Amino acid sequence: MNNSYSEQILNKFAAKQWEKTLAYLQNQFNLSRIDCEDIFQDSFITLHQQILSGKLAEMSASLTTYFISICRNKAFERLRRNGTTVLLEDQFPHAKEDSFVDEQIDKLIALDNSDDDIIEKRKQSLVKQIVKDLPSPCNELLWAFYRDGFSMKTLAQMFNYKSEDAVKVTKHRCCEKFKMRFEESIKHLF
Amino acid sequence: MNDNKEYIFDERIARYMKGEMSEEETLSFEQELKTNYELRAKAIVMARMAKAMKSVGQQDDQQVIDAIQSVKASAVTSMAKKISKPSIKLSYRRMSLAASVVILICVGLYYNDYYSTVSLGEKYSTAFVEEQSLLRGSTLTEVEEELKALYANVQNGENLKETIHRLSILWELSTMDTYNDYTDHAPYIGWYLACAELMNGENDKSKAILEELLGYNKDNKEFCLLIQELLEQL
Repeated sequence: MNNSYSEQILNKFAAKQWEKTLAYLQNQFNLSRIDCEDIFQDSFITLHQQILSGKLAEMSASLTTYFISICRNKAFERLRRNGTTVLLEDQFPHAKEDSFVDEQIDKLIALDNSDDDIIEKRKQSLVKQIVKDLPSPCNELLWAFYRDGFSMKTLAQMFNYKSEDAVKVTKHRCCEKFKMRFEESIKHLF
Repeated sequence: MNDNKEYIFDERIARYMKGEMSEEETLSFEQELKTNYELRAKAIVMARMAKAMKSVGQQDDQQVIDAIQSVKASAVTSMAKKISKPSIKLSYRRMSLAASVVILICVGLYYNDYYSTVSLGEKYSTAFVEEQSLLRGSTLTEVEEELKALYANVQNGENLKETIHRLSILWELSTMDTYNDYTDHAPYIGWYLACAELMNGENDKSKAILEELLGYNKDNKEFCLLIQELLEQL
């Protein structure tokens, strides 16, 4: 991979992680901005080392989940060094395993009963197009829930919502919009 | 369909997909899917979304992993530093030179286009001052306090990024079918969000919000005229 192209990809990924990592660390651990900056930078170094050593080979969780898990662990270390004990009940997803089970997802999709492979492939392709083109705040929220597996509490902290209920309401609305867009679009497939 | 039922559907579908249900719950849920069309339709769409996000997400993640493997540790460190500490310290002389170059470029190439968009936002962000009597009282609710601060940010062009993010969330909430704390404030939230996007140079986003506002406020002719006036200038 060409170096400047690699750096572009890396910059884009890091920029996507920064705001939500900062918000999460500040809201969850009450850390200063400087501490969050240090943790963010150290976590990227750790991520680099772990990728080079092949530790991510069997990972099914998202890279975002894994990266933020590293940040979370470093936050714990920092607080422990400062003599602060932190007890968390935030239902944080597993760092390396996907929260959503493929078998369960496939069972639901199978209810859609299409024996036509071509139609099924078109539907899959359509959904992929839609998920790549979601408007904000649905884009951030739905990806963070359905791909990264974060809980409502974590989402509220990451995206500065006032409460978990506010996240639930917005997520629900985003799901409804997604459903409408999908149902409208499949009409044009036939 | 009432909202609580909808939220319960969302939660049950997510728990099913995560394999968090007991055997008994799973059987009951699968049985209900056979008879409840609404639940089934929603579950299928959510499952498709989760599957697509996993597929697209894995491809994107692999690109990032490949990129990380191909750069040096020092490049990763400096990139992370740059992203998390965006302010750059320059000597006074460099700052003056940089500022002069930026001004020249703006005047020469981007002035007309950028300035007209931002100044439209600035001009129209003060259009609603007389309508905000409910935010002038000495005893405001928490919601009203927050909105007052957000509108002030837009009028003063301060903290635009954070303000736009927060107003986007409130716009979603205020335009929901269910009445909530933000419903009555929807026209103002939408208006200030549209102005903020303009001030941020995002014409298209502003237009989309203004068009949505027109749809929601058909009965308010004065407001519609104002929205149309702004739309014509975009």
